[in-house]
Amino acid sequence: MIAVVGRRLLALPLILFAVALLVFLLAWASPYDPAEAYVQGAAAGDALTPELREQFERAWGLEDPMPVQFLSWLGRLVQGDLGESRYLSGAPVVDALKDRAYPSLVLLGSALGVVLVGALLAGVAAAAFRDSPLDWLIRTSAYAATFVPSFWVALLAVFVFAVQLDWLPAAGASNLRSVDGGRVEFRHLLLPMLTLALTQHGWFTLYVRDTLLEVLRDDYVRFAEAQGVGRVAVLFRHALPNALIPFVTLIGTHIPELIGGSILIESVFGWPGLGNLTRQAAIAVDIPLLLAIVLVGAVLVVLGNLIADLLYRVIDPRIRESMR
Amino acid sequence: MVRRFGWSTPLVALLALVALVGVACGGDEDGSTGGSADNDGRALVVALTSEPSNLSPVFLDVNAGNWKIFSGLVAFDQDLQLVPDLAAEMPEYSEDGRTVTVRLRQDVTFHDGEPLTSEDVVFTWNAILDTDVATPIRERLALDGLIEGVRAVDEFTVEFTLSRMDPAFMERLYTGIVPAHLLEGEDLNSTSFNREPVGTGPYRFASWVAGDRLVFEAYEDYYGGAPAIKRVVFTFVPDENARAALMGNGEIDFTRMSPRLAENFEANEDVRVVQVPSASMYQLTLPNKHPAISDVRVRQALSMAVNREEMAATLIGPLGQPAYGPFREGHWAYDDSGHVDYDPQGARDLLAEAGWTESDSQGFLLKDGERLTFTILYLASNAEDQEFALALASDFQEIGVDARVEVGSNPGYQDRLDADAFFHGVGMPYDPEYVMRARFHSDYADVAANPAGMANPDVDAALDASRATLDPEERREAFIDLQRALLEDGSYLIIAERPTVVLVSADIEGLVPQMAGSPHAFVRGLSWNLEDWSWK
Amino acid sequence: MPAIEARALSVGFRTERGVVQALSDASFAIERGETLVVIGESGSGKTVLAHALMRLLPRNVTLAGEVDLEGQPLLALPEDEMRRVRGRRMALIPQGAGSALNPVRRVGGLMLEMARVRGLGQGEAREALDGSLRELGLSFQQVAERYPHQLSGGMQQRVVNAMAMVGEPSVVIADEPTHGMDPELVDTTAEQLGMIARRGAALLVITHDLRLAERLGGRTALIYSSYIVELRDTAAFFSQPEHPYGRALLGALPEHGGVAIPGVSPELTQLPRACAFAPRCPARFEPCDEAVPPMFPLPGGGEARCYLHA
Repeated sequence: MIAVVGRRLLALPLILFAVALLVFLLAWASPYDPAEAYVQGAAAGDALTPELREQFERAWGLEDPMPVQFLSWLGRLVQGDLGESRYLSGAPVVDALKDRAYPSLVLLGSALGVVLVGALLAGVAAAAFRDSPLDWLIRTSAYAATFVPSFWVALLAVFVFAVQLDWLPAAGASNLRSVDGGRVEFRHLLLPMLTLALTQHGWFTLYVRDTLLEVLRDDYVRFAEAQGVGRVAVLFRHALPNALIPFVTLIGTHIPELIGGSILIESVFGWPGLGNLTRQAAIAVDIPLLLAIVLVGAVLVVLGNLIADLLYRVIDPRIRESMR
Repeated sequence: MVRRFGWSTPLVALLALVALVGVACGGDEDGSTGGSADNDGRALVVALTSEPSNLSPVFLDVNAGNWKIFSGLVAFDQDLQLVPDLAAEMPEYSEDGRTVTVRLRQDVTFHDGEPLTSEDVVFTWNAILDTDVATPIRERLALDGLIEGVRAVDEFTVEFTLSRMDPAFMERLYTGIVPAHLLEGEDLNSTSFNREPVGTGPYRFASWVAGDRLVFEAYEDYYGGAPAIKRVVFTFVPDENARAALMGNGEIDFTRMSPRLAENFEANEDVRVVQVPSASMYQLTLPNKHPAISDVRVRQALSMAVNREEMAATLIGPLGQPAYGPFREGHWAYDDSGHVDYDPQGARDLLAEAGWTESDSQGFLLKDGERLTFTILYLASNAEDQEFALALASDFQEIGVDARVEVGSNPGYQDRLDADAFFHGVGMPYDPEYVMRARFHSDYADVAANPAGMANPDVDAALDASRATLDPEERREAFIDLQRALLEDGSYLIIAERPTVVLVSADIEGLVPQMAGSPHAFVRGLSWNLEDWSWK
Repeated sequence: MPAIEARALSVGFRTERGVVQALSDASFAIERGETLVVIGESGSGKTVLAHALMRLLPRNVTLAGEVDLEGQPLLALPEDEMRRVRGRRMALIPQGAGSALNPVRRVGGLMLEMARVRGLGQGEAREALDGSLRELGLSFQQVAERYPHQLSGGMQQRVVNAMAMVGEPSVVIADEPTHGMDPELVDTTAEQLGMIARRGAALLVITHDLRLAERLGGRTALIYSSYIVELRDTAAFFSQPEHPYGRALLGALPEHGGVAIPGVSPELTQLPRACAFAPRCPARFEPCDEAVPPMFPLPGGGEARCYLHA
């Protein structure tokens, strides 16, 4: 087990290096121009003159060739310095990330929880009542969730639950009048959390259903049935634990999708998290900030996979045994 | 002994969740407005469409209105006339127009208690002029090396030396003044001051949780008297539906809305729908390098083919107003004689005169066997732009012009403006010298500021004349000439006013809209006198 | 009263290719303590017979005939009552003990759960399981905390067998109990099956292993293409089969010359309305192609589905 963790963690810097290089190359090849984005964002209708561009690029250290820029960024990173955000007018990137991490983690974590619980219930229900209208409904909603754009769902959710029904606040993470910033209130969390969960549950639900149907054909399930074990017990105590084992790895591999989904959802709901910051950084072509966000995302993905992998080893007694 | 696996845990979690939802929906209503009983300490909550990145006036566009944290040497009044602010009285130009001396008020303190002196003014302007500072406003404030020097004559007197006479210079003194004692020796590009500013304005910076909210508090020692509203909270909500929901729930007091969504609030007693007079105009840029469009008769014909009245009424709604020139009614340089009648037949005649006499089987005009064809680009970021572009193309097709519509990518569209038309909203209410020279003068025909690439001697002459005198009446004459020349030239077809509609809580007193630039400047347009607002 | 009795039991599956006739007109009875071995090629309908008796069949099945468990008709029972019957009065020894034990559950918990289903109380279940395991040379202690993959194949088999013994079910059905076992393990398994019968259950063993059938004794039912074609004392069957298929089958054993049976079995979707074995039968004569032969009683006891014995 320690060897597994060690190997993954040793690979992490390599992965991060590759990711960072990729982002750098993409930004370099992109037609988006930081100076132009800055001028457009800061001042309506100003023109970017060549002199001004030159001054900006000097101030931002952009006049060096790309490899030099990358290496100097890397050098600072090694010393734990993520640089300064251009979009946030020179604020240290680390501070920007710190401010935004908490709301994002709350949103992602709770949405993941809802996805898991919801997908389990829906997947089990669909498998238990296979080919029934309920199964059809659950499958249709799961398929829909995989291809309906999440921002569309988010806008719809705002329209229905905030505008029409007036049940929940439409934006922000806490009450604007009575609360100081930086907090997350449950009432505010609900809508973005449920929207993110709804748009992400598709694969999970289908996976639970299909794995469960497969497991239900396995010998030990049929043996349990032959022993007279009740339908519910067969489903939950005999079939589900086996279906859950591969499900755990799915969680790990789906973290990137969850993070991706959160960018749009956070933007629509004005959520003060990393997803929203990603959008802002992208619009502003704020390379240092984007790099940092992508790196944080990459770390989350690697860690998520690692945890899923370890969990997988813990809950499957056959693998656990072979590791002792 | 029996290992109970998995299924009970998620079930319990779900039940807990359901219970929590019930609890959360039941309680926690303390934030709603709940009548006017307790408006004393009430915060003004403003939903912006995007989050600012920098509050320092060294980087700020005039549209930002100094955020009420800073004040400039001069300010705009309700009619956009300049009045002294940090200046003790309105400064005046020297005889040759190349020196401006400003005497400062002596009762002004920064939010940290330090007094404002001429050193702060000199520091601020030198920062803007410093090419190591990456600020986009330098080019506009110090156009063509306008400012030769800024110097402190004494503790409360500042002298600006100009390289030439500039009638619009006085307006530039609007720029907010930053405290030298806090910024001396700092790297202005990255100083934390940019996000935790200290100014002399009616409000002081309180806190900023990035992505969440920005909070200001009243500055009790403000030289103009402490503001009545003690706390202002800015939040950032790009989505208009979400803003409408927040407004409908009474969670915010002030935000921008499209005219169409704003109609839903007409019957809402808690909300006032206010139109901020907008200097922004919907404009179609016709590429002068396009072989057919380079003919002024073709541009004229296109202008006559546009049914401005109908577009304004159907695409904007009751608030829609057609427009013909770059100034809005109410602006001191506005010329009410400029007008183009909708005349498709006249447009066809004019095109025939220009040689477009034949037509093909689909009814499109031909000259030397070629159609008169071009593409109208628009940007997807503004939903109504597409509708305008389609309506324009349809009007042009009406007279046999093969106009197409395409969404432009940004960046990218800039490279196509030699051959394609471009539709967008543009305009600011400030001195035309400040905003229109780069937009229309042939000196700028090759940069994005004048995207049509227009080089019209009459336009240039009018712009040059307008800056050659300090006399307001002579300048007005020059700008009326400019409007006529622009209408004549037809490179920029002004279609309609671009309305700025704002929703404000009905509990607020003291609203006096001021003409503002693009709808994004809505806060500036309404809250320019925020310090005079109060709760009912 | 027999512990279990089937009369004219037929099982068909509706599929896209038509109805697959998996079992036709099976009639037999087994007393408590008695053993019936069902032998036949794979795909002949043996396993379907076992599952039909327990009503463990998929939804696309059509059942005809009757099954009585100690005089109680089973086929008409509602599903939950049938589940109770399965738990308390019948037991299945599945093919492949290893794959029949849930890999993520500890053996003790699994066994206790099954015993509880049989209606035993907590302490009672533990005791009964321990008793059965001890009869098979193990103890509950030894296996309870382990996962199935931590047991040897022989231990897994004994666990499964012990589960079938707990609660003294009236009928124990073993489906290919020695499938894939090495000869040594086959021996112990055969012994244990014999013990289960001696304890008083009616034992039905499904197998294609003729040697196992011979060892288990009791009676033997030979199945060919969904039909029971011969039902006789096991010893008598192995000394002198009466149905031509039985004779051919034994003749195909290496020690009897190893002569393969010519031809192939008919498709179960297209069974002839005649003797199913006729096309391959060396003794075929006119009536064989006219109708499906009924079971004819044999002079020395037992029955055979062959016109030779009419």
